[in-house]
Amino acid sequence: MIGRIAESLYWLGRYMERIENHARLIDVAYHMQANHMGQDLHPWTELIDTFGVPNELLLKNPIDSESNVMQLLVFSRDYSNSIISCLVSARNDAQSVRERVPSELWEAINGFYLWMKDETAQAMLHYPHSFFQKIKEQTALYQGIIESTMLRGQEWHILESGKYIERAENTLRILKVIISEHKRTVDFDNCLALLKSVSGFEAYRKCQTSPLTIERMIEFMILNAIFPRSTRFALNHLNNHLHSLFHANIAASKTIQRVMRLTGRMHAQLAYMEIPEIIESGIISFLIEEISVCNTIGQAIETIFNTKEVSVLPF
Amino acid sequence: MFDARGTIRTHYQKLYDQLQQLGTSELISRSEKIKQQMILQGITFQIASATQGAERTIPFDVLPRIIPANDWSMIERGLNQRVRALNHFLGDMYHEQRFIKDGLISRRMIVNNPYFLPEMMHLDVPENIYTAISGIDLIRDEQGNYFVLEDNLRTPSGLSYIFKNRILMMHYFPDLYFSYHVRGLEKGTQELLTTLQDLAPNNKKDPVVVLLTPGRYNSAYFEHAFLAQQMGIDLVEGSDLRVINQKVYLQTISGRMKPVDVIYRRLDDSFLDPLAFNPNSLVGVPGLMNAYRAGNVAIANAPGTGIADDKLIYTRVPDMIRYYLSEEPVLKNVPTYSLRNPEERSFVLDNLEKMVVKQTSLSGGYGMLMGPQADKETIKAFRAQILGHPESYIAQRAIRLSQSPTLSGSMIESRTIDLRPFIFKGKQQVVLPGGLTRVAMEKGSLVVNSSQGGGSKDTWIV
Repeated sequence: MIGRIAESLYWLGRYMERIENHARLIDVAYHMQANHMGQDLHPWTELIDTFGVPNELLLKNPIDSESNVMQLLVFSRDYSNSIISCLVSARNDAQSVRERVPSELWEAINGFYLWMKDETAQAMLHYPHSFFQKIKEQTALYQGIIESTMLRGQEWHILESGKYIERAENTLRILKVIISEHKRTVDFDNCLALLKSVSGFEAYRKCQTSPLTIERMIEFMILNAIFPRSTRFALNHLNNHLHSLFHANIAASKTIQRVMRLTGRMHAQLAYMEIPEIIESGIISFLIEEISVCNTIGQAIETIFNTKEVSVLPF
Repeated sequence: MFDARGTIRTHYQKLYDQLQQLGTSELISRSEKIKQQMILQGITFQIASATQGAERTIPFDVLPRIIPANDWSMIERGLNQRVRALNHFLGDMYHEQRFIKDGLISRRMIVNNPYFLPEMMHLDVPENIYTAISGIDLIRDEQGNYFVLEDNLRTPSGLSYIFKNRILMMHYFPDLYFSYHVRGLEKGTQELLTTLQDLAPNNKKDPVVVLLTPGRYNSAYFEHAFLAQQMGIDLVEGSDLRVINQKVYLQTISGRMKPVDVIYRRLDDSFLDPLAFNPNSLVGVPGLMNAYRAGNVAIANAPGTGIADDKLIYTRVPDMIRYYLSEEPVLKNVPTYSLRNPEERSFVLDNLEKMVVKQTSLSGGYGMLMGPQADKETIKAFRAQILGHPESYIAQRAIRLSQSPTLSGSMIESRTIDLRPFIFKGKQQVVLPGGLTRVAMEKGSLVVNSSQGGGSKDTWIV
């Protein structure tokens, strides 16, 4: 596999996952507004923080109204993490690899883009729920085509690696924002919103019948082995995909070995950790630490793709 | 569709009947659906002058062009003959140059040609094949005679549209399609792949073939991706390849280098290798020409084929057929005047309003004068340009091109068409049945190039 192709596949996987996460997050935040009534916090502050919108953009785009916030997070082409920007990037990546993926996959992404590019904040605010529903359907279609038609070759493993590193990091990032805003006083409503933003409420109920507390929620979202949006689950899959990609390669380069070590270690840690340890060491510092490991893994994966700097070995 | 007396030509009868049954509104609705489908699939074209990223579909006309098998077998013979002669000519020009020595062409016409590559002299190309993929543009006059309008021997484009047009017609007009016994295209991409594999140095088994594209922003990127996908070969950019010890390798993420045997390139010669040609090329592969000269890799088409599809050289192709093959040309050229010759020049200048004048080094419908349609100002400007550089122009008598019924808005109207069949030359030589029928979407227009707003039709050999 060529580095350039691998990089596009990896980012395609990441962007499509990011779009889904963003859509879920905005959807839930939008419908949580009622809970914020009478509080000091601007209802949108947490959301903007989760997205990590750069300050320059916030100065240019005041987030004083619902439609301005939607404009920025969903439709702004200046903001590289808005849903439309992620979609444009995903489409560009898909276009660069369109001969490598099923044609239906490219058509699904292109169709998604063609619909989304004509949408506006004003129009979507008439029915925000059905708007986000449509985005979720589009990403589900994308996942479904991969699942049912894509060869389980290198392309698939790379695409999935992008998806899972993005997912692992995303879950941690949401938790961090919510918990640091509210310190330890995260209430039932916050927990509920959080779970809903990862479509996890129903799944949580199946695993846990005891009352929803922050500890149980963190355990579920980070350490659960079978919830597909938990960090541990995502890392387990990332680890497996990387193994399949590079396992056969005995003379793996140092960069590959490093990526394998980092993901293996992080997954093992989450697999054997217990929730009291996390609480003891401090939730926030734990989350910050794990987010930074995710970033390191992401960067390390990218160095694999940069074949131009690989010194040439005898073959 | 109709002959000179207005009766339906027999092979169009079924189409005519079905159109009557279908009704115009249904036709328009299916045409609209096809257009939506093309946008969704990203069957798009980027215009060089437009801002980066502006994508447009090539207009697709739902009324197929039908060519009877008899006409086609003549065309096929003519194309095969022409490509064989052109290939001989290229081999000769880059080796002994007998065609020059025997006085059939002036040396100046070759060595002054901007596409002539001294780097190719005395280089033996794999299987002696220069033109693995050629697209020869044909037109048909009122009497039903076919003429060659132009040879495209560098990186002819349009192949993907032939396949896509066919699929769209099969999906949206199955009854019509199956009522004819249309010659299928199923083997087409396999034949193209076999042709490319045939070029592999040393007859290597299971050679690695790649398609070299300038990248996503190239106007024909859809075609590059489509062909690579259909053939199951890697679509690569220049920076993905590396030359080591005069061998070409694909760099992979596992750190291993995969040797490359055949490159189907969709880059112009000058961008192929910054070490050999244009040093500013960022899309090429440094050292590629060395590997090629060493015989370690095949390039399709060979560099330097542009000397044979030049508009001036075109006038000599009938001579090539006689000279190299000792045959009479099956397909004629459009009568063409060389403006270097004073007599021909003065004749052309006196009759500019009946002529099509082309700048020899340009293609894609750029730098052309369409005499019958041009206003006085344009003709005056061209006259001055011709007098300034007569050697850069050729003139052809404007032929009344054949027309074909085309859906335009809510009406079916006549539009000018031409035909670009493709010829694959490997160990065997094959012509893809049909080809790309290009259609001028503007009423009365003679220019069919997609860069000038032309559209296309599916082409049926029955």
